Amino acid sequence: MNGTAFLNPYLDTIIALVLIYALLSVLVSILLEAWNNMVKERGVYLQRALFRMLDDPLNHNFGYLIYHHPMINGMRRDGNSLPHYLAPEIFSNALVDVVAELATKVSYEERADGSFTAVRNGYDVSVGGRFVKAVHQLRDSEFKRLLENMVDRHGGHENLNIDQLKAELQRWFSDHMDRTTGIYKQDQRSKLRLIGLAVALGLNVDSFHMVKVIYLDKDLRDRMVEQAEQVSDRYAEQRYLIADTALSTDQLLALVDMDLSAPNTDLDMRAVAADSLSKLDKNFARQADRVLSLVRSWQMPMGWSPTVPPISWWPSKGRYLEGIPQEFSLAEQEVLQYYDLRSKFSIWGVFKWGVGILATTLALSWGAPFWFETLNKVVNIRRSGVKPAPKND
Amino acid sequence: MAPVTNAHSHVFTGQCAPEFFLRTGLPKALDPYAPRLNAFISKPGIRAIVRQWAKLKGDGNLLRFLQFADMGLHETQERIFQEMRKAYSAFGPEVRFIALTLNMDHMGPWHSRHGRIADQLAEVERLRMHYPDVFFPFVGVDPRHMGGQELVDWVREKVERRAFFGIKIYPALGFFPFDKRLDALYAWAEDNQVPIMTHCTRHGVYYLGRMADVLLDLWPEGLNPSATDMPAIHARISRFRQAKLTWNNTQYGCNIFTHPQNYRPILEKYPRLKICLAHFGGDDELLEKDQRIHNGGIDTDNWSMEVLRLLEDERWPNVYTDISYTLYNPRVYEILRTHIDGPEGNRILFGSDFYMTLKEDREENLLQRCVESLNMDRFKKIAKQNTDTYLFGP
Repeated sequence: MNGTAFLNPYLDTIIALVLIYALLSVLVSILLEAWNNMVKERGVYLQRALFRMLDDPLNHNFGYLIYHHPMINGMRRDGNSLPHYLAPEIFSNALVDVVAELATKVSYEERADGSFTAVRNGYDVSVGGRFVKAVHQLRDSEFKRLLENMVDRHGGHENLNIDQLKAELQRWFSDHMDRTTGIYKQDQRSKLRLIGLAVALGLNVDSFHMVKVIYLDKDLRDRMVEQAEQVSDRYAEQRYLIADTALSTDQLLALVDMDLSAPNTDLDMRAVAADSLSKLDKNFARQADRVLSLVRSWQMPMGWSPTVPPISWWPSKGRYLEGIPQEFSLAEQEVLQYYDLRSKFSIWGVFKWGVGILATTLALSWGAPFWFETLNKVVNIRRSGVKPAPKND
Repeated sequence: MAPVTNAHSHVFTGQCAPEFFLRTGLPKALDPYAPRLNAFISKPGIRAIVRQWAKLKGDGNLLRFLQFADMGLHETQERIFQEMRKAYSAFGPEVRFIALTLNMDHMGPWHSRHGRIADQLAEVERLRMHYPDVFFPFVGVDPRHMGGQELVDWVREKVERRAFFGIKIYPALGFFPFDKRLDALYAWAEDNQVPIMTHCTRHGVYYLGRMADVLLDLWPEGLNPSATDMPAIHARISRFRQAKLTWNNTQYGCNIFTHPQNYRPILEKYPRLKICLAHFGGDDELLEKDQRIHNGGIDTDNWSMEVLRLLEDERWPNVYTDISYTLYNPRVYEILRTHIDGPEGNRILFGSDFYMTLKEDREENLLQRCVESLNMDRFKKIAKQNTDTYLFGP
């Protein structure tokens, strides 16, 4: 027995465990995306970010105003929803327009029949001229000074270069959105933890139990390592294809599901926004269902049944083994003995189950990309060692 | 004859209210979580889940609250206006609406990134441009925003362009209507017969900070220190300041600002002021019931009676009231019929307080009940004749 062979059961157990975390993380990602879509999280987040960015308490909340600009108002899917994404060019045009609009007035003349006609004033100068005038009219505030400085940097009040001004606004917007994306990801992490807990409880995924069973059950371990190698290979291929972009739930699912065709790398948020909500709901349900099918087909040591805790701890609901058949192999008997011991109530057992669920929750909160990356690394470590001897049936 | 006019409606969205707005209805212990809760229920998906749950439970109150929240959480004021207009389709497309904007920027001492009053007015101006013959907005003012001549200039510019047709004040948000900073505005409004609408019931939104932040002076001088009623007003302020109930609970405390007697010093100084004390004092006061709500005995006045006395006083020919919100209660109609047929009947306006009333019933139902309970002649009197005089003069 050489060193690598000695390590193999431990390494294989780790690989199998990482594969399970990767698969369940895909489920968590699907549920998170479905939740975000249902509560229109991205649109609300973008709006809040712009309200923060463009708030001038002494004058206007320009974030409020740009959402009523025709270019952005027209992006609402049902007239009442919020756009998920704004191009920097749209932002700069909308902001310049709403500021410039403040320099104009609409007055109304009453006709003889009592009806009113709108007369627009202040449109005799260019948008740049109106912008400068409007900034000048604002009450003194930090935001006013910010805009004035921008005007000064790009030609001043007399010769404002509106294109340069817009370019600076676009850079400002992009920087702000980068920071907002960071905050959004942090916010999503707390949601990942909650959904991770729901998945751990919903599927009864006790990490300690999984480690023990995978370690004891060589057949299960070998099957899972084989799956892990395939998943790892697919991930290695996809990782270079998709470069720096985040993986969509469809892409993640395709990594673990061999029956799916090549993932649709075009599925970004804009495509999602263009799709109908009902279609998306069905898509998320289909994806979640597929992950659960994989959990079942891979026969992972998780789920709810009267023979496993915590149901087995209830005397009226639990069912226990009535002796372990002697015709089973020693290894099989060892697994069954472990199951039998775990199914019986004990304070230590409850504690271990609770900590196992929390460990799963923590693991799932790290997200699918982390686990696929880890899987890739541990599989590579395994491959760098001595190839295990072929099985003797 | 003038078209039907709803003299009291709102189209502002939830984005015009501070992020801590939900402190209004939350237990004190949950106050710090109000902005988060606000962001949470702003998500349509969340409300859809709660609605399904309310339907399963058969919780009518919750369903009506969600109906109100759905309306307030529309993304644009135009959507709210369109919904309101639909409810009046039986009276034709020419039905007019007085939309009251509200300055909620000083509702509490906490920071908030909501649409400011200037943004609310900018959006309302666009709406006026789209519906120039049926949409008549009022400017929401607050002396803490600006006062004196600056405030007059700000409002005058809007009214002279005919972008706005009147002034809205909401003292429960933390100021006395006889505040000195409003003096010049009242003088200008009286000279130009610009209508003013003021909130005058013990219910509704109120200042959410501490009373100590807004009830600064035991003897506020006001714009008319020698007015006959100032001693009585000061005595009430003194009672309010000494009572723990009002000091610890701004919902009660803010009644000190809204009391109808507070308008007497203004009217003594500006007797021709065109002002509508909305809600007729509230349905409970109109029905002369429930003294216990009157601040635990600190203020036992019946506000409806006080509003009526102001209407009946011959010195003040331009004092009005409206039946907004009050109209949801079917028991008030018997009393309303008597008043509409009485000498004060020419100064009672029809208004619904849309969309606040969605907490009670749908606008169509309230409108139908109002017309049926008053009869068409009385309804035409308050919804056409009286509102037209209030808005445009005799």
